[in-house]
Amino acid sequence: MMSTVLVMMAVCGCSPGFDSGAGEPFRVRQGTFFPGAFPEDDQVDEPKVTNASTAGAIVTEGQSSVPLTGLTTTDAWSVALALEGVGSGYWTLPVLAPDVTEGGQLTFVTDLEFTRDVPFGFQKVLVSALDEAGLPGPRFEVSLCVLPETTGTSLWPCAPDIRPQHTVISLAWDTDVDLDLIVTAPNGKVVRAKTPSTPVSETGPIPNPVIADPTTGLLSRDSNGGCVLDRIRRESLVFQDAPPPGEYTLFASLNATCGQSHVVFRASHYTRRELADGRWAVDEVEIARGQLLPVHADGGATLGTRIGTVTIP
Amino acid sequence: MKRRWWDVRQLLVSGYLQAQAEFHQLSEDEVSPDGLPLNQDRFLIRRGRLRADRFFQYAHVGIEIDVNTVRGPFVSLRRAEASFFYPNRVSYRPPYAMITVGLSEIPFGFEMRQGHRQRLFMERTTGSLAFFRGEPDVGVRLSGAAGPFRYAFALQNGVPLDDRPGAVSVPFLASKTTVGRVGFETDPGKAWEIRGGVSMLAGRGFHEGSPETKTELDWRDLNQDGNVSLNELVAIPAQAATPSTTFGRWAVNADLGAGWRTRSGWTKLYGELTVASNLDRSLFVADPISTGFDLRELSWHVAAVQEIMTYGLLGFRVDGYDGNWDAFGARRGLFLPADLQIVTLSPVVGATLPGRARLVLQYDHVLDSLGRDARGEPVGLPNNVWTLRAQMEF
Repeated sequence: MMSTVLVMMAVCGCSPGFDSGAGEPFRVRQGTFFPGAFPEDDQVDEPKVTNASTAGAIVTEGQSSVPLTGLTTTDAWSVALALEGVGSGYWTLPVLAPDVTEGGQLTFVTDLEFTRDVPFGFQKVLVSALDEAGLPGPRFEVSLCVLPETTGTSLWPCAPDIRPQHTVISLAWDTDVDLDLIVTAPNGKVVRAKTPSTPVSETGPIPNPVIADPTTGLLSRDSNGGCVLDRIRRESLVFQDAPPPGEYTLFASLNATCGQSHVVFRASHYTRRELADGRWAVDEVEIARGQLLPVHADGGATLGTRIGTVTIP
Repeated sequence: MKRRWWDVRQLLVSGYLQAQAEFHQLSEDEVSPDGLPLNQDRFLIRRGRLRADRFFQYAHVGIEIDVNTVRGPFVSLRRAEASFFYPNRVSYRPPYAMITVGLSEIPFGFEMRQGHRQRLFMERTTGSLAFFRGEPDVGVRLSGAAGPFRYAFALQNGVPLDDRPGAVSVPFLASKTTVGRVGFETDPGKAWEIRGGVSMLAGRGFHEGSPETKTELDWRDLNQDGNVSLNELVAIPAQAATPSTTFGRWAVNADLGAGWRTRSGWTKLYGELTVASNLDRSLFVADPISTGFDLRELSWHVAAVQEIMTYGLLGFRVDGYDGNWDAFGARRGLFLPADLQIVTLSPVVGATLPGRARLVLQYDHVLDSLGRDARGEPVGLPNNVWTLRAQMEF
């Protein structure tokens, strides 16, 4: 009987296989996902995407709500969108009302979502228009630079001739807990969310010139601080230039579990390296990998679990 | 001689268990943006009911609990009622008059009064589930029989019990819901039967207001550089609280059913039609305060069930539900009528040991316009369902 059931299910198309696109690395809000190759036809003139743009050209890993707007010729019914070479299909989005200031061309607007699975570097958002019969026109390309969270504002992943940060000590984790990276610097300073820089000041606030010094290490953020979830799940100590030599000791402090049963973390040390052609590369060394449980949560009362050291020569 | 149902004076304990396997075409191993699992292919305990009844000469008290694993292990109250009645002179008919207080059935239409134990089909129809997430509600009910005629009127909270774990709690209103049905049915024991009735419901729904907010500073990354610029900071003024509002809802229903017994067994045909306004509380939730107009809803179904030589069962049901007759959608800058109708074709086949066990396989073929093709035009969503259910009862 079970075999009969399975055959019936296959005949009726009820076997697993529906794909909403929720697992895709690149997503289009309010779009409909279709598996398969991106629809485009360079041999026809229309329907055509006449313009498409985002507000900026830089996207950080995991970033959502990146607005994309555009125009199509009047014979378009929808637009197809994909990230070139990323994912297993494309998204479609119905076009909207005509723009009377642009000769009645039809408009489209959406928000793009880039998950952490989107490769870093330059990426092309492909857009094509589909007509009433569902036939595509030529592609339109929108270029974006996708940056890893660890690079901060450096455009090095998209332009390797730009010098990246000298040293990044980073802690990343997998669930929505309030985990803190704590680093004790060679000068004795405990760098943490409440004291997010490496210099020590005995006379009050740390002067701005000291903060701006490229050898000063700055903590990137307090991710999920107080269980206000940003879901970035990464904190980094970033040095724009060579940090003061010495031993930097790393701790993973589980401030609060935020209702999660556990967290798996990974600490890494990134250093830049100049290539022979004048370009730059970044080397990654894993420092530690481990798991913390609710019993380790201490509300920041201690430095947390010691997970390793980084020695700067 | 038939025993009068209130002659049984001792405590009666009964129950049943429905365990099933489901295969949903829409399933995938993902979670929705709000964290709910998108996979629905699973084994589950759909219902495990335990019921206790105690009958007295002019009174009855009953309580029923449910256990299920629909969203994890869950125990809930399904029925808790106390009744006082004046017995019918004809032994097999309901009392002339019965007052029931507590958590009990909503006397509306046919499906709402049909027990899950008896229903061959897996669940109520789409429209019925949209109108009433659960079958029972708390209130007071007057019901009874006079000859072939039946009546039931109730004053209830108007918030049917939603026993799903994590279900959103709906506020109770001071204004209660009036619901009732008048109908007829033939006496049992014949080779044929016919029954029918009309029902009505009138009540009020609730549009929840919003609390006041505080002044906030909002950052909009206009140039998408990840850095804060002064022109990207927007002051959001504090917002005053908005008041809650109520709105009217109503429904009328007609149901009709007939059956006849042949050598093969009973053949039963039945159906019902419901026209409602602002009654959808589950699927396309009706809120005329938000939409600015009353939503008109239509639900209908027709079903046939055939017994085959005592141990076999065949059934087929067609149901339709339109959650908003006046729906519009925007396409290419034009506002065009949108079709929200969902039609479900449900063939079912099963085997039964009468009064003891049942094994049923049902296929739900869903016809709707909730999907989108590559042009953005409405097309059917691939959301068909297979369900295999084993039921044991005592």
